[in-house]
Amino acid sequence: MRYFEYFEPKSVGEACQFLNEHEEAKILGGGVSLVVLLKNGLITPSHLVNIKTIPGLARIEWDDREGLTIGGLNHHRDILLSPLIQRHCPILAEAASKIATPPIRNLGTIGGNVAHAEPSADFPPALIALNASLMLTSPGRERKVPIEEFFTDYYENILGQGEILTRIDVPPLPPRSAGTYIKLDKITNSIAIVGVASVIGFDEKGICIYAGVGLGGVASTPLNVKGAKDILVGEKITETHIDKIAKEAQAMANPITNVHASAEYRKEMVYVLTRRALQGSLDKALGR
Amino acid sequence: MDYQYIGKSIPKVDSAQKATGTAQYINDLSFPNMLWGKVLRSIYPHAEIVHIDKSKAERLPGVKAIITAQDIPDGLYGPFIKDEPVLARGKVRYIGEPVAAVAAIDRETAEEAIQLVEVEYDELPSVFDPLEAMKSDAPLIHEDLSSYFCIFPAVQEGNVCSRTTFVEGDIQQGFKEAGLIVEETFRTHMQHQSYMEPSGAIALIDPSGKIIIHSSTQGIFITQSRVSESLKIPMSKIRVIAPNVGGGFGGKIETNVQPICVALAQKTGLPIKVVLTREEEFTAGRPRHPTTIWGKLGLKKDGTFVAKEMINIFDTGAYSDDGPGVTGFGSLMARGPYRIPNLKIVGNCVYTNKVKSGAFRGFGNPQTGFASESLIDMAAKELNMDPLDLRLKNALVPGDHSVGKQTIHSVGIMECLKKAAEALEWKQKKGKCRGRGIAAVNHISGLLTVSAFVRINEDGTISLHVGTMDIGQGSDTILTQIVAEELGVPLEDINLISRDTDAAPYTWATSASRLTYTGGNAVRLATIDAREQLLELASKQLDENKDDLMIQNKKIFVKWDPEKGLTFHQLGAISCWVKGGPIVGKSSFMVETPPFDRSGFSGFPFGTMTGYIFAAQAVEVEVDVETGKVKMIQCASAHDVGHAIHPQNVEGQIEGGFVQGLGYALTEEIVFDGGKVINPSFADYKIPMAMDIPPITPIIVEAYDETGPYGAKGLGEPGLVGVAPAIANAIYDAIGVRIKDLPITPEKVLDAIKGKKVTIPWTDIWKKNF
Amino acid sequence: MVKQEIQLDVNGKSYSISVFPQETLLEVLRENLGLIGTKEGCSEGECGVCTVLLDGLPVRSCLLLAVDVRGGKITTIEGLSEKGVLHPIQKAFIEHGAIQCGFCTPGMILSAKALLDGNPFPSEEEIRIGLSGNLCRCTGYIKIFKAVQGAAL
Ligand SMILES: Cc1cc2nc3c(=O)[nH]c(=O)nc-3n(C[C@H](O)[C@H](O)[C@H](O)COP(=O)(O)OP(=O)(O)OC[C@H]3O[C@@H](n4cnc5c(N)ncnc54)[C@H](O)[C@@H]3O)c2cc1C
Ligand code: FES
Ligand code: FES
Repeated sequence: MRYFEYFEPKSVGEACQFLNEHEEAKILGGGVSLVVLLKNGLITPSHLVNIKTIPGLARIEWDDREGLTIGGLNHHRDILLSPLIQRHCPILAEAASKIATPPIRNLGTIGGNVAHAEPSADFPPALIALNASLMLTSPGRERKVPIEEFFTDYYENILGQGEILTRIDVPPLPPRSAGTYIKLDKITNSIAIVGVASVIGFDEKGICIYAGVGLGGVASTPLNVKGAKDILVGEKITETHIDKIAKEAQAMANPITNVHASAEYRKEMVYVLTRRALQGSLDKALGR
Repeated sequence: MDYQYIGKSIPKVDSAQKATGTAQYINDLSFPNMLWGKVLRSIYPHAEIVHIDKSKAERLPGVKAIITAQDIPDGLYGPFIKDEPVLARGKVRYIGEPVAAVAAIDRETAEEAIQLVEVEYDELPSVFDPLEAMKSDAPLIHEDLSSYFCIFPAVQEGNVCSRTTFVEGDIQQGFKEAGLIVEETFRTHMQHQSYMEPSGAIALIDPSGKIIIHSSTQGIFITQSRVSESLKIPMSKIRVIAPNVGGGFGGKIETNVQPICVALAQKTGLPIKVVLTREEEFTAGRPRHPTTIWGKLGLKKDGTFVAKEMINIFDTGAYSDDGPGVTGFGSLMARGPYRIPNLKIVGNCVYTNKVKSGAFRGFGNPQTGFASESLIDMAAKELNMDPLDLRLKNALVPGDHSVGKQTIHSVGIMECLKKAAEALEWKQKKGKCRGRGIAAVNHISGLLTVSAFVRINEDGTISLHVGTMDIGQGSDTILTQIVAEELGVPLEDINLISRDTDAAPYTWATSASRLTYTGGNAVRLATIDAREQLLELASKQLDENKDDLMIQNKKIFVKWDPEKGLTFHQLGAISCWVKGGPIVGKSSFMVETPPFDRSGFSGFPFGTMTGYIFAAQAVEVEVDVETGKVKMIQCASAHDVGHAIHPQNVEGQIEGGFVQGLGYALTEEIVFDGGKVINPSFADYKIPMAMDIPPITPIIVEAYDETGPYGAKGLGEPGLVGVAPAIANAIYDAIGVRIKDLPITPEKVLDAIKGKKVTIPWTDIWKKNF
Repeated sequence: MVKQEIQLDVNGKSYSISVFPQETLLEVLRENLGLIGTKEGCSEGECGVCTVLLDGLPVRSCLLLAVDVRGGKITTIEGLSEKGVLHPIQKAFIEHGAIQCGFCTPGMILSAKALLDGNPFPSEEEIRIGLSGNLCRCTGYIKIFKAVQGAAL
């Protein structure tokens, strides 16, 4: 590993300031992905700024109007075990349970998972399906962006130098709703060949009032299947609707071939898994 | 028979150290002033080395030595064909081949230094597919093949470094008699041993000039011999010591970095440590040979096997390493545990510009077994017979012959097949998209030599000197049990001395599933020798007839007068100080009988083999027909081990082998782009983890073998061999599609469901008359 | 290049050592403290032989910078047995034949400890999840599951 200096900020302001002043500095979250990059020499920062020394960046809170707030520094494990998440957004716990293994989940953070912008990561599809927003903080400025606008390319995002992902906000779902995250992997919990998240909500009459579908592993960024909302909301969901969304998801996918699977296979699986994810959410929401 | 230690699952002798983290492995050792060595590797699959400029690297502070082929003797080494240099000489033959090596004060400096060594290459045409490499116009990878020293009369041609042929009966006549012929081409892939401990070594030179190598190895004497032949150092000047070894599975039999380590130690005069990175393990290790296999099986309408022909192409990569052995042995096993009167099996071991392949659990048998056992199910389908019944109809029984006409007396294959099938309720109804498959396995466990000394110390405790390597499979425990059994002493009284060429007598490696059978025989005979000498001494001292004496509780006494006797302590002291001289029982065991009838053999690189072992693996799978994913529902693996000396160990081998077979069948594959490995990490090369493990029932079958210690035969390898074909057969049973190339990825299954043809090239090679 | 002084609490002992920021906990444990029971198998978070407990939870010591431990309590395999008396999990591993080459064993035992500390009576599924971060190439895992079940009883 190449030499770098190490800095422990005491506040978000101090961290942003430092990052602003040192162009080659990098944020250290859980370090799980970052340390691998450092070892391989894929990045050679001048400094690491350990934001875990900043108080208050790990918290999971619920507000009936605002919904769920998750700190950028909450570990995958926190998300897996949080009773609030279990109650209000179990799909996030489901996604967390499919990320690697306990020793990774104990170190990795949700902020790092999102900021790393790996197209196959497991949280982003679930967060997309939940219509989550990210709070990006820089000196004297905060901006809240919808998650799907965050990713720009393989391992690229819109974060500016000196900007920190401090918080993730998930708006409340309708009372009758459910989500499913399906991950197709080579061995259990290895990198997603395809990941599909779906969340559906209903009114008392069984009419769909919320729908979100997110995809991972099938393009240079995680994808939001926007059509899901147009197709489902206001409808009683049938097999035909599901099929239509799955086809739309498939049409959006633009995957690559690598050692884990071919592009054609991935594309085909988007269809299969989107159907299954929607069916899964439907079954859960309707108590089947 | 009642035994005190044999057949008992006692706690393994080395477990406590391993459980507490005090057991030392190669990377845990260090010596004063030790330097870190690092290898510069070729970035071309086939190229001439025009020039190497070391000057920049030499100027880096902390660098102590840089060596290239010019700095070391020009010895070539290898187990069968001496074709490999320590550092590339003149040209490189694969991406990853060692070109230069650096010694520096620490790992980081060494890593930085190799990046500063400039190598100018002139690229040569390369060939990656063995079928292409066998064509007459293919680039030659070893121009000097015919000048290499071979330890056996090798049949060679172009890039084929060894061709082994077995012929029995009349193959043409056999196929004429057949009412059904099935024929197919199969392909298997490259699998890595993926032991958890990366390979490594430390070399140092003691004040007398002797070279001491601490080697993570399955065979201390193999390290000694390879270093000797490659660097032209007499074996008497080389001492090899092995620490604990974190798994091997065949990959650590031959040397890897050891000769380089020694060359750097010679150059600097200081201790050198080289430990491979995981990436180096994948790109420059010694994985399982990929193969292309064409097979043809002829049967009578009633299912009787009458003829079999097979052409096996083993892609050995840039150097032969264990390739000739793997090809020869895999081809020998290709008949399977069945009677087939007319046989022609040809194995070709072919050079290509890829990382060299070598020994790996199964030694060629998983590849030919996949083809053979798939063919049987294809035939069963045509005959509308249950695949289990078809196997049972043709399975060997005691008194049948091996290829090469040895009579095999101990044969448990029928029982293995029946019990494995029973464990899955073979004849019961199956769920939707579920299927069952079975595969039968034959293997050997008697090969080459082991020697052992059993010394009685002056206090009556025992020293067992034996050069075997326990790499986790438990041989230290088993050999200790044997000494304890024969002398009736507690295990604590036995000091096992192995792992040091200066202290242990010669043995060939931990390989070929042979340590219980071959090593067990040697240790048992040496212990009996020591016991007879003890009795002899006691008889003289007590002035009693030897036959009237008995041994109990470390004491020899007169049968009807227990008061009249001598303790082991007394006898040890007498032998050392008064009479007779120290008692040393010894045995040198070599597998020589029964010999093969070699009239139909050509180019087979081994002498005789024996200790035939049998196994059957059965699985139930469920196929997700939309994703192609195969889910393992339940599995059984039955093994004829003759007699289980340590049942818990036997189960451990069965389970471990099975799971390694699962990886082979489903997820593991070293993938190339041209000559470059593109997945050299556990992130991209996936071995099974805890959540992937299906229920596995290990079944021990004991067909007593007169020639083994306490009737025991070997284990170790067969546990992996039948897994892939059993799964392929189960998939066929479930959804009616046959997968002919490994690994069985979801994508291949889905393609097969959709009726996409798998393109394993038909080639003129299959028509060639070898 | 500047070294930093850090405090490490390992197996109940505190150490004050100076390290470069790029040194991993694995390197510091093995090289500075001589705690060789923690192994290195891949160096990139995939194999689990470097597993140690940080405040009771299993983590990859090869991915954790030593400066980033920040006062957390580290347990390595050396911290499990006391004065030569083996921890019940260690005993169970020996008794059930869960150890072959032993290279995965320290990490595996620590993962098992974290699991059982948090969940004294895990189901088989929970054992599989708890141990899923540790690869073993020798045993096929089955005897390891049994050992953990045995230690739980
Ligand atoms: C063996 C292994 C297996 C894995 N398997 C999976 C898997 O199955 N599924 C999956 O989704 N992921 C997987 N990952 C990735 C894992 O989830 C990582 O934890 C995550 O991607 C990064 O989180 P981190 O907190 O460790 O971030 P770090 O490694 O610290 O940082 C990653 C990147 O994000 C930046 N960053 C971190 N935090 C912030 C922040 N708050 N604001 C702005 N930038 C920030 C860093 O500068 C860096 O560029 C795996 C990783 C490993 C090593
Ligand atoms: S060394 Fe493999 S996970 Fe750390
Ligand atoms: S015992 Fe060898 S890796 Fe687990």
